[in-house]
Amino acid sequence: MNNVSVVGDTAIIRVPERYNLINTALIKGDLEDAYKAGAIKVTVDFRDAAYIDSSAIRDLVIIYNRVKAENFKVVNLSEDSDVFKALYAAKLDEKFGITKSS
Amino acid sequence: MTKLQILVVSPKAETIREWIKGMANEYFSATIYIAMDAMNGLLKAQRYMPVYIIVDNNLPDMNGMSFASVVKDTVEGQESSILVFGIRNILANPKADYFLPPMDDRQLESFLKLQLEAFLKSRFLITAHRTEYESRKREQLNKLPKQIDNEILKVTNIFSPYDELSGDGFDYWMSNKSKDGEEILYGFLYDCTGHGPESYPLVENIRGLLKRNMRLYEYLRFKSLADVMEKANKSIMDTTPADVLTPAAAVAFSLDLKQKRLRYCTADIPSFYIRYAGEQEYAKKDCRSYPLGMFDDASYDEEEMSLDDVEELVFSSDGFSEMLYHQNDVSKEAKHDDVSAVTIQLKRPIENDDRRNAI
Repeated sequence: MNNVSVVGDTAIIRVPERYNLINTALIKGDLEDAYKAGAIKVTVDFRDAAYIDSSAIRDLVIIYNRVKAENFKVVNLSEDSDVFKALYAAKLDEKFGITKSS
Repeated sequence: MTKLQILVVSPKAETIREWIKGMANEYFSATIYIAMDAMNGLLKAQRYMPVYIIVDNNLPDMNGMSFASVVKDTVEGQESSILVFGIRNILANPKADYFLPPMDDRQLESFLKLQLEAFLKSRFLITAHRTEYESRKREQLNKLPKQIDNEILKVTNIFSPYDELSGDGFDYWMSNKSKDGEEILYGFLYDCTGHGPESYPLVENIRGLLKRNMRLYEYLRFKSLADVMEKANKSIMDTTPADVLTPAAAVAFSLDLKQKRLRYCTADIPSFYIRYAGEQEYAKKDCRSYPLGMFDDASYDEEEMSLDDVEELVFSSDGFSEMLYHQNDVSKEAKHDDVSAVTIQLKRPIENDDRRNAI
């Protein structure tokens, strides 16, 4: 499954269940293809994610810095999840403007 | 160039060999053997003793995880690193080193190349720089602080690298100043992104920054532990290229045993643990703060709490705390990160003096 799709000017990252060092490399490559295809915004969809490590958090911030805050969005992240707790501990919920899972 | 033997066991072993042969020969003179089924795979594993084996879980004659367990328990295969792909359900007692779920060929090729590249790089570094590697391991172990055990407290530590060289570290010491009978324990713990030889330069940089800044705090050049973190963050950000991030989590602490106060400042260390007098369980103290080396404008806060009724404190990296209290087995590994912790047991001789004075 390709984790990155492009809709209009937005690259949508569908984060896998375990977002870690192995997956970040794959997603990074797919995201570069999305940028070349014209994507200038990034939405990160956490609906499938159960685990995130520090290398994945680092890469999210790199993406955030590249596209800028107004073009970066996180969706479908439950406040009860371990992923949210990891981002919350690093105060990234504020930076990312995280929305609650529907 | 060092010779390296790799074995691929899969009905599509020829395809996989094409995927990986270029990368394997970047680092070593690699011979890639192939086998289409488990029986031939076992024979070739025994004959050639490959250092790295890629196994398809869906072999025509045997489950790939079983194949891996058989190989690992042979004299010839016990040192092999084994990756099994195409796994839907993990069997009990698996002995392979890496597990991949089912995926399409495009993803499988990417994952196999990444895993193999990481393995070859670590072996390349180890082989090419074995002496230096061993030296750095010794250096890292020699820098670990010794246990403190006096009439006031006992400080011990846990240091368990994920892969020989750790991305974690810590230090602690009692204050040198004897003015006014001061008794203060200073310390810090950090957890760098990544681990192993590639992260070692960052580990040493973070250690040096925190040690220097904590000494400045000890000698009152910094007013608070927040200054310790902010200055460390600035140093990291000033020396990191714009499109690269090298973040680290950290905690700095000081225990004033006369005033019975703990001061601490965290940088993305998510929690620490407190055991109160008369309690068996540890209470978890959640923390929230930016990592070091992630944002130029990160600010940090010094927190303070009383040590009354506190018998033990545990500061740790998340590699330790995730194992300690993890409710969900999402990591699917017995250990998936460097583990480090500093435990501080308070013996409370001051209380005894207070009781005597009160009589």
